[in-house]
Amino acid sequence: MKMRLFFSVLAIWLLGSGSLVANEANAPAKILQQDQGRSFGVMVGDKIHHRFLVAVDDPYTIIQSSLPQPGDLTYWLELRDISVTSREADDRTLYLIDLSYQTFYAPLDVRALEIPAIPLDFSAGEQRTQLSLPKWEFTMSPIKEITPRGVGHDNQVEAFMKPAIAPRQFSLNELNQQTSLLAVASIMILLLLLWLQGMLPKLGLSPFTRAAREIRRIKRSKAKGDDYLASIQAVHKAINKRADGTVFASQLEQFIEQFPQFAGLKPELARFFELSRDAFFMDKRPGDSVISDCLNLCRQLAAADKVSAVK
Amino acid sequence: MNQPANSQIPAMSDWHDLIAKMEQSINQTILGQETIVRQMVIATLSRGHILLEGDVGVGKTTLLKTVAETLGGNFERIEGTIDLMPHDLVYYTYIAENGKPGVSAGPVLKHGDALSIFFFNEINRARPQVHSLLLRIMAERSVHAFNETHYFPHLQVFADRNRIEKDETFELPAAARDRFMMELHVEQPKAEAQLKDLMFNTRFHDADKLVDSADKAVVPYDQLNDVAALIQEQVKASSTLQDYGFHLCRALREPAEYGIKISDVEVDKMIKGGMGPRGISYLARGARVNAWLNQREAIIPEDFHVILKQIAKHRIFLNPVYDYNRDEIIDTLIEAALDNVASP
Repeated sequence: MKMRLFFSVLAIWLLGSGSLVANEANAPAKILQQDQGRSFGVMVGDKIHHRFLVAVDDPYTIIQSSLPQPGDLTYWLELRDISVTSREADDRTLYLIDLSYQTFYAPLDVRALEIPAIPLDFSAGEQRTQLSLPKWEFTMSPIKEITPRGVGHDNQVEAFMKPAIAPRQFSLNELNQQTSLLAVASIMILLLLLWLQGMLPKLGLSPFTRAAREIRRIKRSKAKGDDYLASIQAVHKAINKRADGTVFASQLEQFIEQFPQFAGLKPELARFFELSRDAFFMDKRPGDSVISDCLNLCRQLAAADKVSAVK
Repeated sequence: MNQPANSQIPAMSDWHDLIAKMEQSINQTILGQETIVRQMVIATLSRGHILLEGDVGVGKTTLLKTVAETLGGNFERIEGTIDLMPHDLVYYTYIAENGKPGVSAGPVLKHGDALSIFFFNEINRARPQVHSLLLRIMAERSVHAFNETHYFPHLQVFADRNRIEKDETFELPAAARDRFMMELHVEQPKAEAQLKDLMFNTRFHDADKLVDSADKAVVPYDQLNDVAALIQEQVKASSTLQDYGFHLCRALREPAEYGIKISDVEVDKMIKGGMGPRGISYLARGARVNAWLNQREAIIPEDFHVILKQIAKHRIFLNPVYDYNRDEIIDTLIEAALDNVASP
């Protein structure tokens, strides 16, 4: 009888403990990884970072109100920050919980302290489950001697003072580079904007000045034969460039209408077009002064163009 | 150059007067179409055929009849209808006095080689079979009938078509359009005085009487071929101008090469077909005639400008994607080519 009772109690005990083990393994919430850092040599003012990776079976989700609020936990411990990020994985949810503490305990000797456990609640509809982030025991070390060096020292406060740490020099090169790059980019954008708005002064030479230069070059080179044709062509190119399209003799009126600054030179321009027509299409050789005439016309046109640009 | 056989041919300087008289006579009869008349004169002196297109009642037929009257020579006209067949142009069939069927020469053959103007009214109402016969008459100035080939050395074909109606019409094929030297677009005159005149002046009420009032046979039609050849002979084209003409035609075919840009159009994929050798030759011939009309010894770029649109427009074929807006795109293209190709 006694033996039967013993065996039944043993069986119940074994069964119970077995089911207990099974319960833990089957609990809906589990800590998969944890990292609490060094548990010794912590000094006053140090920040302590704890990180937990918690897995919760679906459809459980964390109850936000069960998370601790940042603030003073005890007179020496402050929870500065808590962040929870979640990710769905297979049929469970992973929570990455970051806790950032700061300790203000100033021990006189090495002292064991404890950050308390944090109970977290999870819910799935009516069902609830709980998981406790474990408490953390660590030791704190003092930052100063109990008594100042040299027995019998009378000035207690001064004795603990250490010289200030010399300021550290940071290199500003990278920032300087970034600043100058930004400055150049903004100036270019500003110029582009002004250019698009047509607010930039007309830079560059008048096409007529350029043509005059070319004609002078032709004159200097003293090439025989078609040099006068090249000079006439240079003037034509300049006129076409100014009009942004081809100007034929019959379009002289429109050209003058479009660029009234040349109105004063209309007879000269008409003469030039006639001369060009004779030279290119009628195969008539113009007089010897043709290159000089072209040069003069270019100068006059350039001058008229400049006056209008200043206006 | 063969000298004309007719010793009574007026001197070339007199031809200027004749042409001026002809233009004046037409312009007195047809109001407000000076540009079109000038272009018809250019086509006539280039021995090119003309297709007139325009709205209803703007005077296309009257204009063609007047030009035909002033040119002199024998004039035939035929109306394009859907049941017109090629043999209707060549043969005339009837029941003879003896009650037997008879066949004699139709409108094209009736006048033999004295036919100077063949006027095809409403050409797009005729069937393609008729177009095809007309093509031969236009290109070769000959036709085969009664077992022999008949030649019409002085023939010029005028045709008109109404661009509003498209029902029961047969669009001219590209080959047919290419044989017309010019396609002229007739619009009604814009000037208020002219419109009032056309509205109230009784002179314009009866078109037949009006045409009848124009001077007849001002220009000897049988000398036009020789004069046209002489003009082509006499008017020079300098090498600079030849370059310009070449680039102008090339710009119409390869606009992307000349930096031509048209909004909403991919310029390099736009053109499917452009002016062929017939077209560019007509352009040069027309330019020479325009130079001659302006008493110049050589062609200048402006001579091309006067006729470029009329000669080039119906010869440019666009990618079908752009065909919906054909008129506007081609006008823009031609203007851009004139603007982008420089000379000298």
